[in-house]
Amino acid sequence: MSATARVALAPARPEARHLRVVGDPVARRRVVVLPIVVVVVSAFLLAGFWAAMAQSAVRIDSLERTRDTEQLRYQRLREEVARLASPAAVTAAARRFGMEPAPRTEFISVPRAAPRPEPTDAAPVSLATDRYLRAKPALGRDR
Amino acid sequence: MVVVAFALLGVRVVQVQALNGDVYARRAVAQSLHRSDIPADRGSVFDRNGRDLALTVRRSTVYADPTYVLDPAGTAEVLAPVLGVDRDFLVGQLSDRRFRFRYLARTVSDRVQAAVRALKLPGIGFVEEPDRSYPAGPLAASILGRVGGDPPGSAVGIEGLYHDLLTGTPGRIEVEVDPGGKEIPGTRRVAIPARRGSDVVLTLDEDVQWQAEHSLIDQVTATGAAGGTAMVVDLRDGDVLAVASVRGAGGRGATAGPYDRNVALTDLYEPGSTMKVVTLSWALQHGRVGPQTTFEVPDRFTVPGAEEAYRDAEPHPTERWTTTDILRESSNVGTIKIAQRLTNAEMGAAQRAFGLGRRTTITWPGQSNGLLTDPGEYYATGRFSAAIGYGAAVSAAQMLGVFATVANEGVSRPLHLREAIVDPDGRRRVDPVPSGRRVVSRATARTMTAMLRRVVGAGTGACAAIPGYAVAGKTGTTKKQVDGVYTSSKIVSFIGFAPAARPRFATIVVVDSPADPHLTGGVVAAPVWSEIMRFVLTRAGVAPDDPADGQFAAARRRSAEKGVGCDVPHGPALEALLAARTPAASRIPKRSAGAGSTASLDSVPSPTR
Repeated sequence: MSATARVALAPARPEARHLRVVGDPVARRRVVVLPIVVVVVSAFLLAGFWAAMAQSAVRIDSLERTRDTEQLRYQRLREEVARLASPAAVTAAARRFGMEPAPRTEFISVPRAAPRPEPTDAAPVSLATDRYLRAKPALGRDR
Repeated sequence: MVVVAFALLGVRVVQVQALNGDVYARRAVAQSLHRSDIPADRGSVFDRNGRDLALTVRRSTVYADPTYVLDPAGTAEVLAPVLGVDRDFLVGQLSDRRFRFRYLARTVSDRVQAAVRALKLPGIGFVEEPDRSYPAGPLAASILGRVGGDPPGSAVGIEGLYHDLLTGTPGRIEVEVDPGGKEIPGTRRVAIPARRGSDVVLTLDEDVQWQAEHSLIDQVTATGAAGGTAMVVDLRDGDVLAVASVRGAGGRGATAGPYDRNVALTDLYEPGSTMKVVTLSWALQHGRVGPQTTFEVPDRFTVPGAEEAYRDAEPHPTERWTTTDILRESSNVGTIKIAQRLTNAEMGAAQRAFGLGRRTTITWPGQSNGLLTDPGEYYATGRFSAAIGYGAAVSAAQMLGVFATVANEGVSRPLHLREAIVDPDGRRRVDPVPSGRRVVSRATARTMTAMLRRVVGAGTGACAAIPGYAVAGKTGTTKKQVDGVYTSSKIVSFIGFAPAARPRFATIVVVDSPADPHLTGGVVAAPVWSEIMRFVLTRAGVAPDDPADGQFAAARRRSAEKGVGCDVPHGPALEALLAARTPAASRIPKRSAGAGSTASLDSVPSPTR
């Protein structure tokens, strides 16, 4: 066996077994603390989320009750309006104010309008007449 | 041991969680699931102007939890006058501790609810329930009907006819709740909202309806009649603006209703002289007579084969009357002479052409076709009885249709009562207006209109005249038949349209059995007709076609000559009339004519006018 081979086969030195590479203690703490923080924050978030949901449920409940109350009020008011506007109620109210049915109906006869003179070249057309003549074709149309 | 115990526990866990997991999950949900039905609101009924005739309102119902009621007798004593409920009933309800919910009074008013709440009684609570409200009270009761009567949930009138449309679809809500009954957030929640019923829009006009009922009620009261009906129609589209049914009370104050009987559509009567319009129109249409054709008219006349003579209402010397005069004077003899120029088949065809003998186009339960005699069974007198309105049973709506046809220049104007449906999403579906068909020519209709104007201006219908408007119409007075026998009671009517120059509205008024059997349609029904139409025309803003009051003045002169008053008594005048009426004059109302009431085919009737 050559000297080179002897060296190569020699066991490692005993003092080398106590040496190892250790991690950064700060980083190690991070590995431990971070999940805890995440869990705690998540728990708080979850709790907050549930609380918000519960709050919303209460709010929805409250809004629904308000809606029902307002609907009820609307129904009652609508009924009241219909009752007060009914002919019997109106007649009774009118009588309370001392009103009486008219003994007869009077008609007002409106005299027919005088025909408008046709515009001539000699007589200048007034602004009002001009507007009327422009609007007139549209007035007679059936709609 | 420990291993075995854990093994058994593991098996049970697998059994519960894996094998029967679904079953237990369902049970858990069932225990915590709270399910509530959401009642659907019933749709509303509107008039043509969108005014509520019927609507649903939630009201408080008073209930008791008897387990909390300390003193049932004392509580009942306090509650009975407030609720208006029998005290003994309340004691029974409050003492029954088998249940924790007992109704005390349902759908009470807000005032009652506040009064009960103020008492602060233990064990008394409130729940809300839907209640059907009719804000105008008994107005249009015979049309609207009612819901929830006997049996419960039953409905009549419009409420019954459109019950399926008006009734909505109930919804439901399912939530998971904790033992305290609070909803658990984030759990399953199923909410299916209730779908309210559709709304029904009628062609009725609330104000016109009120006027029709108001006028008719007071006249039925004043005349001590058994009842009456009135119907108003817009001739432009056949919209029925009012249908009034009135029950008399022997002259002690008539009322609208009843809820389950729309007299104008379901009850039949013999139309009497108003049928002369059909006879004369057909004779004019077929050239058998003209408006100026002259007849020799005695006051009584026996047709070949008849045992008795037909008579006019009032004795008169033999006259030479034109066709127009015959209609104006409502001469039975003259009309029969005109009917002699028609065949039996033509008389029957005339009645059917004008829509008699079949239901009107108004959708209504229990509406009758009417009863017409088959022309093959007229025998000796059937044609002549038919010509003057006997031997036929018709509804008021059918007779109004006859006059609407004449007013509409010879084209029938199908009537309808429903204008539209508004579905829960707010979409309005308007009913199509049914088209009419030509019955008589325009010329015939115009000639008949001119003749009918004379009836009001110078004939039996003078009390129907309206200031400012020319009116065309006809009176009718017939003996009433009960169980196949003619009685001394009369059914009196007036049917007409206005303005005669450009007809816009047609109305019929029928009054059943005025206390005085001598009263005629011209005296009882025509004034009511005039009052209703005056209101309708002015409300609609229809321009007067007789501003000089020519027809009105002539008609009033005629009324004065005859000593007839043309006013419907209202208010103090009616009260004074009732006070002055002797007890002997008031009478128990008689049965009104129902379906199947018709003249015997060969009877020779009394005069009609």
